[in-house]
Amino acid sequence: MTRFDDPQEFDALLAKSMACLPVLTPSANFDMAVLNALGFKPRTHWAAAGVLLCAAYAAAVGILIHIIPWDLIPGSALHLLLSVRPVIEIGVRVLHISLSQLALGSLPFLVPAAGALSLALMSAALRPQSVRNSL
Amino acid sequence: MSNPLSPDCDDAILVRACLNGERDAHALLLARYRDRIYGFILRMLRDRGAAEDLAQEVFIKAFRSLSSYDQERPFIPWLFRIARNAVIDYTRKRKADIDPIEFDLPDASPSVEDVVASKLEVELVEKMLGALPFDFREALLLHLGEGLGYAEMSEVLGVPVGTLKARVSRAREMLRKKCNPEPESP
Repeated sequence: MTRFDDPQEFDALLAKSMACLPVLTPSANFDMAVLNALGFKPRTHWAAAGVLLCAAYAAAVGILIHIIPWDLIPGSALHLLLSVRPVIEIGVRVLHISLSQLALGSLPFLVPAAGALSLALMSAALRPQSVRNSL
Repeated sequence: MSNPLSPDCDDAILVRACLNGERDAHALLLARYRDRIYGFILRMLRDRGAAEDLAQEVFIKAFRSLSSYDQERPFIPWLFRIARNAVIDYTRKRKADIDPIEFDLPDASPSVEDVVASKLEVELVEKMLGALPFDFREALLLHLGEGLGYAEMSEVLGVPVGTLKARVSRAREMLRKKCNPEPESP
């Protein structure tokens, strides 16, 4: 006789298994879609804060890069600087994710997007010609 | 001093805040019940896209009709009732197949313990639920999956407690028989 012949045993096992059923989750934009349908607009102050932060950060990085006397920096230090490329790539990846979220209406993600965008700007502003000259 | 909203707030507080038009209260109630409602609908319909659309409609309808909700009563049966009605409407409109789905269980292994363990794995339970007729599936899901009591289920489904007890018992028996088929006669 197997244990399935005992209804009580089976019920206990079934209850245990049912309590362990995995939590099923809808897509990431589920809440936003509901809130939008109810007339709640995305929070524009997050967007404004993100844009401001992005502008301020990019400006600061831009100024810094133009102040640094690249020609006086030893080659080894420049090598070090160039080794930050993976970091920049991660930044761009974060930017991509953030923009995807932004497209879904998750405006708070503008803040990391701003940071990632700044990283990308920094990489572009590294003035490759000066760097190559120094090397 | 107003009560700040937090994920720990009672449903009643969140509902009142929703009625005052507070966005955060809507978001908190959504976050609290989104997965349960979506999971219930998905397990009933077995269609991810339809379940997501329907779950969104359920929340939109619930929020829009919050003024008709009796705040003296628990919130979750009320929400499940809307979800359950949405599932019924959907299946009627689409004439969706809600008949039992046949499934095959793996052959029993020699060890009784192995049989028990393999036959009642969570994945298998999901499959078995799909094989139950609609009424029995929803009763078992609400009772064992969602942990609703018979009185709450009665509120959700509009069916007497005695009938629901019989349905749950019958559903268990159907599953047990599926797991323990009659030996073939020689």
